[in-house]
Amino acid sequence: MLDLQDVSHVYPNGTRALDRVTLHIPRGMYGLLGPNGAGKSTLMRAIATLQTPSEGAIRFAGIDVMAEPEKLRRTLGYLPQDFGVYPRVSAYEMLDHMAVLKGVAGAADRKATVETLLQQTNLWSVRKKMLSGFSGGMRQRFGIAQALIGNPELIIVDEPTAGLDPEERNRFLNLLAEIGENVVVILSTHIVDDVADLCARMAVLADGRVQLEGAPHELIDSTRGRIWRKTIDRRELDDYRGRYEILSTRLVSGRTVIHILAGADPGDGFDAIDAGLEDVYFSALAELRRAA
Amino acid sequence: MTDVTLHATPRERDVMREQVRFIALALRRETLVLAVVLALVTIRIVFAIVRHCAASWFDGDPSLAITIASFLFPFAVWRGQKRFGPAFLWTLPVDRGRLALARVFAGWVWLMAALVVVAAWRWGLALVAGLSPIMFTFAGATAMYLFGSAWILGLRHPLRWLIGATGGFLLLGNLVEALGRTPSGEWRIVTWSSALRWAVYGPYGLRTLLSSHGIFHAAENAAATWRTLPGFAQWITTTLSWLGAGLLALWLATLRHRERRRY
Repeated sequence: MLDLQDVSHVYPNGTRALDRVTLHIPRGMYGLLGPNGAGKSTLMRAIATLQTPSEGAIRFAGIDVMAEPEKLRRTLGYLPQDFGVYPRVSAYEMLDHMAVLKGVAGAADRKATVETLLQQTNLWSVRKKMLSGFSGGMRQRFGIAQALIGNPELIIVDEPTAGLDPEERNRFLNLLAEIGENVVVILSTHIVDDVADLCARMAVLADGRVQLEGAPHELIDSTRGRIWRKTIDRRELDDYRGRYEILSTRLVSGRTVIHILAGADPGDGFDAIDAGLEDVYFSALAELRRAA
Repeated sequence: MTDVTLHATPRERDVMREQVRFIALALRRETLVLAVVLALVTIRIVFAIVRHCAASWFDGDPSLAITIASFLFPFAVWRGQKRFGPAFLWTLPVDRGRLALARVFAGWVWLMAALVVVAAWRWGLALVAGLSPIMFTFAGATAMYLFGSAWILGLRHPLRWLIGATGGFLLLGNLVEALGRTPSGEWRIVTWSSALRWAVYGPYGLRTLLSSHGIFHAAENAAATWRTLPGFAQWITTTLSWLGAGLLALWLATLRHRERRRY
């Protein structure tokens, strides 16, 4: 449904943020994982018509996004990383304002739309509260409410759960999961669990390039038998770093648990484990480092 | 052809009307502050009227205050709004340049409304006091509002530029004061540059733009005042020139908010 073909973007200072990104994104939730500076936000902005990439083509359901951005905007819902619009107006007033700007002209239609969205995002009880007084989670839910005005078929959410407490995060992800059943939802994040819990397909972006693409379970299967775990003393860590390709380390009860990537049993007390999406993600980044 | 449902784009008049409504909502606090200030000043003026010493309240020329307020008003209109870079609002199906102009228009509507209230308030109190107040020009306020809007839309850091310009202006002001006026009443520093002199004291300069108050003042001291007033043709030419310059500045500023596309 959304096709990106060799999309590249070079900023005026010479930074190549995107390097020939080619993706096919079907209906449903699609996760875009990557470390900070991977190019995720640049890609999100390019799809959201906020930034024209230097090269390549983006098409959504027959719409040439770069040639007809205004057409895509008629079916786009976008929640940026920094929503940024917090004037001294209430949630209801702001949502109503955005509904007008999205072309919901009839007062009755608009009332119904705004009220439904406020209920859906669990903001009805605070609809008269000023946006400037909203907590981070409430702002994100408001952000998704405004993104849903006009029943968009392409929804882009950029780092939506950053800074949310676990309860807010859970509530937000449930909301996204509901929405993502019938439309294209692109979830850009560096939180692996968000993608693992929600997305039918995903890509890992790093250094502006797509490092991995597929269904999370397929990607997990592809690393099966290559991830090994061992609990070591923290002082041994540097020694292990020199000998193995360590994917991740975690401190558990004062001991360090390491995961390594190895094609065969490394011996040395390592146990084979069932890989998780986090291991897939870290192995993709490790391969990138190795290639560099 | 596309196989998704595209919702309607908003009509121009709906966008315009909505901006007017929304700016009113966003400026509620400022409106309240203005109302409180007017109420407090009204109480003081009423006391002065009762004691027959209200003349000083209506002698002053409010043009400078109105000019400054009109120039700064766009800062309130655009507060909290990301104007540059990939601003979220630009993903809405409204052309960004037109949306910016609709906001400028909405701000102007409310500025004019506020000035009408202030003028009516001043005029009404003066009538009660049996005096004739010096008034201000709406066209001058509009020109300054246009320049203020161009300032906001054209500069990434308008406040920094404003602080810098104000600092420079104050320094210049001190210099101006130190140098004093010429025998004909013109600031000496302005007369050193013929271009500056023309812009300020010339037949179509700032003094002419802001001189409509004289029309009202003339009621009290007609003979003396009418002699110093610009002719109507001169005043209207000046006003239109400054409004044109303001619109040009605004247009140049909105060029920075054009949609960029590849094809």
